[in-house]
Amino acid sequence: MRFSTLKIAWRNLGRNRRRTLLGVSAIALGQFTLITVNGLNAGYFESMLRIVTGPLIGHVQVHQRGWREERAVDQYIDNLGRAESEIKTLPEVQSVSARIFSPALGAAGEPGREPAEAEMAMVVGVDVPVENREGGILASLPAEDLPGPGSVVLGKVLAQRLKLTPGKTVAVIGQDADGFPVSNIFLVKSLVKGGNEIVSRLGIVMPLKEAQDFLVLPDKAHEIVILGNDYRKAGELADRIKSLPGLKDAEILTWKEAFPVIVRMIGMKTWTDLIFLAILFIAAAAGIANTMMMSTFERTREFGMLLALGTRPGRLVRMITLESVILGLVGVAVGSILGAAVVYLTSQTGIDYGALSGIRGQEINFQGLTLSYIVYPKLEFRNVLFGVGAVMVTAFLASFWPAFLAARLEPTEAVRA
Amino acid sequence: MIGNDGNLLVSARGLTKVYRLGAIEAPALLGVDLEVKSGEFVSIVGPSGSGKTTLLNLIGALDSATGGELRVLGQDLSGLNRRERAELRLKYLGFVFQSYNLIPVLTARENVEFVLELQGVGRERSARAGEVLNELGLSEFADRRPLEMSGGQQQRVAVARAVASSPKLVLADEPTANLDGENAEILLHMMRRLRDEYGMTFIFSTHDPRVVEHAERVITLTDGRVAKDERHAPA
Ligand SMILES: Nc1ncnc2c1ncn2[C@@H]1O[C@H](COP(=O)(O)OP(=O)(O)O)[C@@H](O)[C@H]1O
Ligand SMILES: [Mg+2]
Repeated sequence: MRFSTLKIAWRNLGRNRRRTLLGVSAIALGQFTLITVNGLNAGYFESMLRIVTGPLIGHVQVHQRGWREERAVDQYIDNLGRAESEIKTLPEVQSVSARIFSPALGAAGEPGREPAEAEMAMVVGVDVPVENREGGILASLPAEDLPGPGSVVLGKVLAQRLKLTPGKTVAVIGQDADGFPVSNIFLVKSLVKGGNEIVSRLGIVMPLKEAQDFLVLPDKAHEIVILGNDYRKAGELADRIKSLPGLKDAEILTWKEAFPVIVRMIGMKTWTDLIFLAILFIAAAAGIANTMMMSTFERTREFGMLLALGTRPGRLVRMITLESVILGLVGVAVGSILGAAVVYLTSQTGIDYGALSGIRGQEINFQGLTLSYIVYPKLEFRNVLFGVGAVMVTAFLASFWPAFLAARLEPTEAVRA
Repeated sequence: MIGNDGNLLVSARGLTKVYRLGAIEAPALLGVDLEVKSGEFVSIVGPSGSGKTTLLNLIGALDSATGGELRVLGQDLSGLNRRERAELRLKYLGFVFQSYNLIPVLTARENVEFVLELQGVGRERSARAGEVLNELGLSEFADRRPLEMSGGQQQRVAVARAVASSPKLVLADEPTANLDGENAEILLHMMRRLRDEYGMTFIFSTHDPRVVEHAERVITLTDGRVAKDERHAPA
């Protein structure tokens, strides 16, 4: 490529600034949209993935067969201690945490306030230190707010219904595994929201040991949540757990099997990425083709003159193609810079997706999970590259027809007055 | 490859050109006989539609004849394909058109450089372009783009561009058609000087009597035929 070809192509773009600006804007807007929308999606789906593969759900879950459908108290995993220690022998296991879920009634425990209004609730027994970590049911609670012997943490919604605040007591009436009624009064340590929908709406969260004692479920639990070292290897981990003798009758599911809808949604990201790539293709094709067609058609005489002097048609083709490619590159560069800047800035502050779509509130309940409406977009460099590639391909294709016409011109075009 | 046939640059025998527009035939040249020798300063005149442009296009290997024989620089043009004709134009011929001579986005110097580059001149082409413009008294326009020059200045740069690589033959189709009398004068003087000092051969068409005065030989075309071919004492 000779330098003058580049110089001529570049300067030609400056000839009709308005038209060039229009072409550049169309491409830039396409690339900007691709990067920002896909960045928003990437952030949204990544947070979703983080939740479904985090401590709340784990990489692998163990239940008694049928528990997920009926959630009956007597559908427990027996010999919990043995099961847990077997699971812990697997080298890739990072953490094991057992949970108890048992329907109950809750009421304000204050004496003298009657008749106490009871609300539907759920006793949730958990491994407190494990659930206190990032992403767990009790995440973000300071140590003094954690449940202990005789004390519980209430789901925020339940607490509101029962008009309870930390420091007060809650009366809980439940059933043990054999159907006998059990009841007790607990101190409310703090309130918890987010994460698991059942917990925030119904949860009376207490240490696993407390729940086992209260509900007469010694060495038993309803759910075991296991985190391995890589969520992508959940299938292999599940297979190894299935072969453990203590769990041969249990139902063992990976996060993908437990939340197939979310897995499908995450899979849809590829499609949205592709849709916006297609939109970019169309914007770039329209922007470049329009600009190139107009700018070459009005230069017929100039091309004729160049051919008359002895310029090879191939050189005209390169000149026009280069012009088209430069137009595309400028557009895609502007779009990439603006798009990356917006994605970067919003990734720092977060975007309230709910406010954008006119929904009030901060979170959405989906598939029993509480997802935040605040999305932190994520720049996917891959999408920037795809966009650049798409624009380059379009630039070549869009220059093909005008270049072909110019190369076929007769040199006498220049001479005809 | 290029023979000189004893200084004979152009020789046409019974040259004809018929334009075909679908079923309609428009005869433009009806048998032209013509010889032009090296160093001549020839004007082709005739009324509009008489075939001046057609003849110059054929001699300049821009178009092909429908009949007769045409040799330019010893080459039989009928035997050349599109690519070979482009090669011949690039290496041995210079062109000045009525308008649209220059690339609008390049300065005068860059326009001259561009043809030198096409001809394969290396790094020294920028200096060469400057010299040519200087030699023709155009250095003050060297860094101007065509739109920043008057029509007369543009045509002078076009001549500089046409002669920059010392072509054997310069063809100019109505180079002064868009110029006023004074600018036409200047252009013709410039061409004459190039012929006188460097022995370049010029064939130009015109229908301006004041321009014809500068020619040494005037070929008059009427209805596609040579009506007169006379020596002339230039003014
Ligand atoms: N491309 C063309 N197609 C059809 N007819 C043409 C074409 N060019 C010229 N002619 C015709 O050929 C004749 C000679 O034209 P031309 O060589 O342009 O004459 P001049 O340059 O002397 O005015 C005219 O009758 C003109 O209409
Ligand atoms: Mg003419």
